[in-house]
Amino acid sequence: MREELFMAGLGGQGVNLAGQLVGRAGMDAGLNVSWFPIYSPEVRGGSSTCTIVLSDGRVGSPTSEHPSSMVLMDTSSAECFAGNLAEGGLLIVNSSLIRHVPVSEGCRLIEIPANQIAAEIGNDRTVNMALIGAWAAGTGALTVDDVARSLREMLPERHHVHMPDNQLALERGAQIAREAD
Amino acid sequence: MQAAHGRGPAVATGIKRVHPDSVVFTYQGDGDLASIGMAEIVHAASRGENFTVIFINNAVFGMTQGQMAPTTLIGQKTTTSPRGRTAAEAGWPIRICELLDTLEGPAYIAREALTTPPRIRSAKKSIRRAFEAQLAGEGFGIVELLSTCPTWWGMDPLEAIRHIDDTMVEHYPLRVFRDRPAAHDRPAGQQEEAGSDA
Amino acid sequence: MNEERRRVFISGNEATAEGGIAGGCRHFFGYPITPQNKIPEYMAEHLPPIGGVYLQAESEVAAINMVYGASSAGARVMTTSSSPGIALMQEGLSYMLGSELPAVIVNMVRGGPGLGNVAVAQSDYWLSTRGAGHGDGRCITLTPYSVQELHNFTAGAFEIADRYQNIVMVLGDAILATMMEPCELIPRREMEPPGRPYAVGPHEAGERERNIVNSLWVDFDAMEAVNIRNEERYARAAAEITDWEEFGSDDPQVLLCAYGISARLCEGAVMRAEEAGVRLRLLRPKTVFPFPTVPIREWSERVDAMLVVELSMGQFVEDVRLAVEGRCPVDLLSRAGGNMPTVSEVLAKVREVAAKAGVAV
Ligand SMILES: Cc1ncc(C[n+]2csc(CCOP(=O)(O)OP(=O)(O)O)c2C)c(N)n1
Ligand SMILES: [Mg+2]
Repeated sequence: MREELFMAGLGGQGVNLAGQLVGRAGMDAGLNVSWFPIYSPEVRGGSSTCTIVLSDGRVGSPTSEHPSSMVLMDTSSAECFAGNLAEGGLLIVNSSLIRHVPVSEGCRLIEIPANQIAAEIGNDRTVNMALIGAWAAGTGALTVDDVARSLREMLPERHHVHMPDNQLALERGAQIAREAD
Repeated sequence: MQAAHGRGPAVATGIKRVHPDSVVFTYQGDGDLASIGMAEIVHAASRGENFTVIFINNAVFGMTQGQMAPTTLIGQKTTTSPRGRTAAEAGWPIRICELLDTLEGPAYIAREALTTPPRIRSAKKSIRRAFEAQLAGEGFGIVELLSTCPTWWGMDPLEAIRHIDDTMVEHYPLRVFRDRPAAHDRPAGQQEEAGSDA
Repeated sequence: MNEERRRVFISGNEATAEGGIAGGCRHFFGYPITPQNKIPEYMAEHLPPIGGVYLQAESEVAAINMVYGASSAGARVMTTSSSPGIALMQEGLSYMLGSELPAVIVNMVRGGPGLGNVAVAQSDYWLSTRGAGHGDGRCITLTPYSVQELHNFTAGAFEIADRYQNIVMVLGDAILATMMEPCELIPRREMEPPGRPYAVGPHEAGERERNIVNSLWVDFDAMEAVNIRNEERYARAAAEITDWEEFGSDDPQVLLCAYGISARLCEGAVMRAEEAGVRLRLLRPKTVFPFPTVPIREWSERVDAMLVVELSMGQFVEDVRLAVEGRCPVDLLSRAGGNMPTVSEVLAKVREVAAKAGVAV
């Protein structure tokens, strides 16, 4: 098993945290993993990307030329990166912001209205969770329960009050992904 | 011209000694000027080098993500003083203007704060005066500007401005410390009459 | 007995800092510089509560001299920095080599020369393996290629430094520093009381000879003796701690040589070797001083060609060529300034090198 996930979005959308969550959940599920960030020079704003490799063998290169899955959170990320997806890969986009994205033949597209889901839950910080839920269900690399369990471990105790919101977002995303298949 | 961290005053010295008629200034943070570059700023000031220093004091290493600076206040939390700066561990915050004011070399030394419109206007006057000192060949000028760093102070911009006016100025009083031609009569960087050193 | 080891998902910087504590270091002196700021920040957070000392120096020059002082006082001590800061530390390194003192230095290499940038590079290879300022001394240099190895090598570096009374340099880079991976934490070792036989410090009258830590030897023979002792250390280290890992075909046509993050790319290339149609093997040094000369020389008699991949214009490749001594062609794939080759580019270069060497592809 080898999954190369690439994530991109605007600073503040929680790209890196979500990516670290996937890495952490992969580790907790007994896989070898790496999380590799590329920061844009600006501390705020600018786009932020990361690559997560999950593997039951060696990780090897922590970078990926043609990721097997992608989570893209804003328009400029979609424009810049969607074309790099591997043949037959899975593309998950935040359709609240991304109106149109070209998809190559044989690739799967799942559109998640993540901002809308977060707004319905009443917690802006859950945008990334809706997308990660969809990614987990769409790839089957990890279960939503795996991700939720690791999130609880990762979050400091004082943030556990947000767990129900996060869990709800993960599940809403996963549900849409399952229906799309 | 970009100098190595802290070395601005040495590089400016080199430039000014080649082009004494050019306007030369350095732009330095508190980590840059008061930490790694302490030797360079003291010696340039002491020599009365005829250039201008703009010194941005935000009491923190901003660029590198919020570490303690020599100017960080006692009790202030930074990424390398997570429990707040203590004098026992890290000493006291350094007052650069006061320190340079012990030297004969400088012609102009002032500390201003970039907070309210009157204070910003005053800062503008000091900066102008420091450059005029350079143009008149009077020698070394430095203007310290107390500046906010909302990101690494963990404050919103208005809180940060209030923090300067309420707290920082207590330790860093706003003042023109020095406004006179340098003690020696020949400004640094200008050649004596040809043949005088034969 | 195997102690229960906690497995955590952390960055290379954190793994390095915790590695230092695990190795028994309780004295850290440093100065902020990207991309390794999380190390001093971690030390500032974790050392004081366990009775250790974290001190932010006014510069790298001061930091390395604080390390020099603490080492001469017999403490397990470390500092960390990145390229421009390591350049500033050269004076202190040279004095420590002249005074035959142990210390652990970590360099999370970034792009250069000059202020450069904060992205990945491997252009401090010479600085680490030849550098250490002026004079003949050299740093024992370890080259981890994962977060786990950053942790293990940093922890282990103190033993090595003590054993050879020499500086150990851990050579990381901007990617290893910031990437996160699972890491099994080595239990924290207690601080040893700073009572090394060579160290300065309080002692009862008559308890021992007065120790003098010094690198000034006016007498030619005394100065030469220091250099000879250092050479003997390096010879012992070559025999005892030279380390490397190999991965891939047992009958390779092309041998890849790379260390650190480049070795990760090459590992990826070996995993996809069938795409190149070439039997591939990777040899990655875990120590570059001492250098794994012997295995590289042995492979040079069995492979058609070697390809070195490094993120510099060609520094590490010189040591490979010195080991190969012309027995087979040694080619170089290099990128600089923060750029990295892709695994596909490595494979394309492998094909090219193989074809040049007459391997049917
Ligand atoms: C020799 C060297 N050491 C460390 C650094 C990293 N560095 C870059 S800027 C800086 C200090 C930033 O603080 P300050 O000068 O106060 O400027 P600010 O960002 O707060 O405006 C440091 C330590 C460097 N560039 N060179
Ligand atoms: Mg500052």
